[in-house]
Amino acid sequence: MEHMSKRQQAKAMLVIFALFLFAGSLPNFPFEWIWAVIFFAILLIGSEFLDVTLPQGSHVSVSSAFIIAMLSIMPFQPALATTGFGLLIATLLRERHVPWEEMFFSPAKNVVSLISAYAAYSIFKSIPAAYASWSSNIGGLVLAAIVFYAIDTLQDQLNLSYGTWRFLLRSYVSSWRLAGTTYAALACSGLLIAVTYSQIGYWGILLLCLPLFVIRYSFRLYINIKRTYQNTIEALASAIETQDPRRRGHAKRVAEYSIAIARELGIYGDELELIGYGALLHDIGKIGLEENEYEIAGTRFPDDDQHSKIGAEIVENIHYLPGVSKIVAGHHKKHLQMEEESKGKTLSLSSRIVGVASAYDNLVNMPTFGERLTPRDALKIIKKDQAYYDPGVTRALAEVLRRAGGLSFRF
Amino acid sequence: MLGWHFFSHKAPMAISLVFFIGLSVTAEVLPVSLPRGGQVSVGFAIWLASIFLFGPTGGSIVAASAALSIPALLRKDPPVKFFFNAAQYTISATLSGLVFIGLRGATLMAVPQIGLPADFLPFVAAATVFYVINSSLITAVIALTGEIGFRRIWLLNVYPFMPNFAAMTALAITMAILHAKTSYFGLLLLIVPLMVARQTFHLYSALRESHISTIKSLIASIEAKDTYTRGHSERVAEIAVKIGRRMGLSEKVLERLEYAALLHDIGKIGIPKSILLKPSHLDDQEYNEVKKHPFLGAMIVEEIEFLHDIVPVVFHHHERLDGRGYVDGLKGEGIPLLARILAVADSFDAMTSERAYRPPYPLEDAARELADNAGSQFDRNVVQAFMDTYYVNRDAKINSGQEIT
Repeated sequence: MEHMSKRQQAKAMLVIFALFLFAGSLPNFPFEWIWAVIFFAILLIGSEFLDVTLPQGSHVSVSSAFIIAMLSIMPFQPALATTGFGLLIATLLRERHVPWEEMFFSPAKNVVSLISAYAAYSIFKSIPAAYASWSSNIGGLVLAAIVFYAIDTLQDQLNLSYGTWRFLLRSYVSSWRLAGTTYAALACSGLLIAVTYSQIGYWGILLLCLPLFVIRYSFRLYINIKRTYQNTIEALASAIETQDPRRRGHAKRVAEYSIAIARELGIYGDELELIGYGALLHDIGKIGLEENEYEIAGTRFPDDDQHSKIGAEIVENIHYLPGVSKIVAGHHKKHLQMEEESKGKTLSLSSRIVGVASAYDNLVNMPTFGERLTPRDALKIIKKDQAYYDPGVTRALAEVLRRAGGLSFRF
Repeated sequence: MLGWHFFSHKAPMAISLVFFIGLSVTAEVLPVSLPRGGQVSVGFAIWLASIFLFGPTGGSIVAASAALSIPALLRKDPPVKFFFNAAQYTISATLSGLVFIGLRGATLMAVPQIGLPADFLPFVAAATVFYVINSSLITAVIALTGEIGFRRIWLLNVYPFMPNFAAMTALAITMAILHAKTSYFGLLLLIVPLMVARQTFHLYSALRESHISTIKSLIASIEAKDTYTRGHSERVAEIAVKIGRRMGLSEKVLERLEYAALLHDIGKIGIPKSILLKPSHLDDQEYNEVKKHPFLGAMIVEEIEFLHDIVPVVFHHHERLDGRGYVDGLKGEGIPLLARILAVADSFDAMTSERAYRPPYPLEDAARELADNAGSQFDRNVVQAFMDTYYVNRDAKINSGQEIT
């Protein structure tokens, strides 16, 4: 395993662990469940083709509703077999050319989540879910569903957290906030499928697929329009740069740096998103300026800098982006002087982040300001200027650059 | 008919009935707003479910209660409309319920045993009867009061909702069977995901609204640097959408037209201000610079995946019907329809706005200019549609933002 990255190793270990659990459940397999296994496996495979990708890169699919349903009606061996095999077949059908630990990741992850959920249930109740009556059972099932999603999200976040443990908890919380209601809806749907299955049978479940698809549809619409919104702001922000070809890409890069710095500083969720927008729009005020005003040498501007003010006014009209106008207004202010003058009322952290990111990009990537500097030299200049640039933010930038090898990085 | 129900009323599980009335009123209070205007509620599914469960009597009580409930009062409908709605729901629900009982022999509450899929027929038949009678009654009344034909109303208001009808029917069957088999437990489990879907959809609609208003304010700030073009894109969007509506384009296409009109001049951002704001006529070289703006604009819009379909509209908005326009010199039908509409709206607003080198044209002169150039520069049909909207509304200035009704 020498050639594998840490993340690959972790995935491989997860897969082996899941296989172990899986093998352990094979003896005493209750074969009277075989038809239900086939039925649910088909549903599971079908639903895997309808997943929704979240902005951070993780997936939500309605397949978890079927897994919760199995949890409520079957003993654990057939549920485990259906989940493992069903998801594996789905992955095989969808993406053929992926490394094996990638291929087994989703089935293994779900098997582990499912086992945890069964374990949580058995602590709560001694009778297996499959044989208990509905009314007495509901508490245990709700607990099991919560545990399922908790463990599932945890594994996803571990996978996406770039090998850093520090902000795992925060990104975990933010992913719950984004998808929490969807989990609740899916869990309810799962229980509903279980009730329908035991009371009405297979046909009832086919009828239920409809509300499931409605949830999936509305969720996908929402995620898509969110992406479109970001896409549009990006395009319009770069449109402003066509005035001066040398500035091309500045806004987008500043957004990337700002988000990376903000993550490093432990900012997450909505605030992170707004910093991204603030960074994209930080120079929007320049559309009002004449060409000669536009090019001012050096990386700094006077405090009463005109384009920040104009930009803030423009962004103020965008109601979807509250607080972004403050980021835009403050991105060229002297951080230290502000702190002294306003007696503790510091320039907002978001503004300082965008200020540092913008200065860095000016020094490293922009021919407008003379010779391009190396990342190391640029950092040195920014570090020296503690009156302008918040040392804490600069340190975060340095850390980000160190980890990225000083080259480009994704957010 | 409602009276007949009161006489033959055989209390069909009072609590269930009240529960369904409550559900139906709630559904009406919490409709889902659609992004292009209009609302959808799951009320229809709840009424159908009541028909399956309680038969004609209970079904019409639930359906009529929706018409007589708070939302109807909140909307302050005139009494005629109010009673008409109550009456038409009663008639539709009664007939549908009779069909259901006729085919199945009993309501779902009376006989909950069901052998799917063989027993689907009564459900589907009853749903179809409800839908057909309900929509025919409404269509007939609109046709009687207005000048639009029965067929056209049907095509506009009934036909597009067919998929919705199928989904609602499936939902109604599920709800009815769940209630008959599991009482309230299964129903409540069903309501949670539906509410979440509604909430997510609501977020989606709101963000979609923000999307277009954000584009508007960014465009406005780009235009703000030039006093002569201030508000141009928004006015062009307004005129273009009016023309498009007059030409019978669907709301979906009109939305694309609005986006295209708002963004049609975005490419000017890449053209030096010294040329754009020049107080005299431009020389050839400068004019060639200006001619690049549809191309630059198309490049910018290309970056927005959601707007890929309007890239050609932005790219071709300066083409002329006779092929003497730019960028590609396309002719006639070769120019996308939306680009032809945009050309008329754009020219009209340009003529009626002040320029550094000339005062604004009077509205009548600008309209005559369009008419004179119809067939050579502009599409005749588009100019005709423009004239129709313009003269219908001749008292109100076209760019004063008034709605044509």
